[in-house]
Amino acid sequence: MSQLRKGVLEYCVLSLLRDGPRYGTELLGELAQTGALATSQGTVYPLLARLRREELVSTDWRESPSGPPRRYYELTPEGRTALVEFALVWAEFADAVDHVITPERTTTRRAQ
Amino acid sequence: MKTDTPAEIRSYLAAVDRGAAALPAESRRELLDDLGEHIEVSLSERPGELGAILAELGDPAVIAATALREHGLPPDAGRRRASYPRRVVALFAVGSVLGSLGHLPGAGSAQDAALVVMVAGLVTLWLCRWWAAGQKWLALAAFVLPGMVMSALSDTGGAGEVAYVLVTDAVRAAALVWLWRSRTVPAGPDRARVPRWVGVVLLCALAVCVVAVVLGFATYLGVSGNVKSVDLP
Repeated sequence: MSQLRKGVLEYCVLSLLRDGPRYGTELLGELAQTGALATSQGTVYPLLARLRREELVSTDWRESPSGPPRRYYELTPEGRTALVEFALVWAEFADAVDHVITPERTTTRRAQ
Repeated sequence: MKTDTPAEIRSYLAAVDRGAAALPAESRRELLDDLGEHIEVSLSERPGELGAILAELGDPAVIAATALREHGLPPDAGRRRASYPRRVVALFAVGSVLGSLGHLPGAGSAQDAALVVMVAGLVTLWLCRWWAAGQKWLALAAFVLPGMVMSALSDTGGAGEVAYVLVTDAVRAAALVWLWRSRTVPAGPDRARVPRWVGVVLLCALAVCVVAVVLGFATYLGVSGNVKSVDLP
């Protein structure tokens, strides 16, 4: 189960960046709220570093009206493509898994 | 992070740093920068909640293990890395024990073996990047100087020699403990790269020395055997 969560987490991160750039703590806060984050917040930074290495996200520093400057994460075109592809695969996959793990639905369909 | 960083943050980041020792230097610095920035920004948003912020970030070991996994390294890669300094310390320990045994009556050839092991230890230490040059010289002094004093006095024999063996052993044991504790994870690989031919020459020299020591030991046994046969009648 933890492997599944880990695999999906990076796409949750990419999804949260779909509507515009976010800075680290903002992103982690939203991620924690979705419930997709099963581990501690700190483990997301190695993931973000990999997304940066793979050029799925880009970063830039911005001054903040209050407090220190923040590093903003933004989807690259490659990141956007990866997200669209994942959304398609995930929809099919979730559907297929639903069919397998929900016996009631299969039997009611057969009965209809 | 700046130098005025609270000790709590520094020790947290140091724990991540130790756990992620096997990461490439740049990635490790990046991870520490990311975490440092997170703490700094969170503190500016929620002043005085450092404890809660660190708790949310989570166990440094888990973060480090995640970083290693993202780099395709095994989660225990950090621990395995100390194998090279361990080898250095082991060589010195064995060399010291052999050196002390060499002072027992009739075990003179252990001295030669000790010399070979010590030289091997020094070469390994010098190639190792877990210690700075200054530390290596200190270790060299701690291991070689008492031995030199001892060999100068070894002809005197008796209680004086025993005392010197004990003092030397104490100095060496302390030096070993200090050496082990003062090791720091290097930014790059474990040891300095040497040209292949240097490695081959060193290995050949080691083999020759080992053969010489074994032959010396055999001759010594032969001699004592002869002595006995002479004594018998």
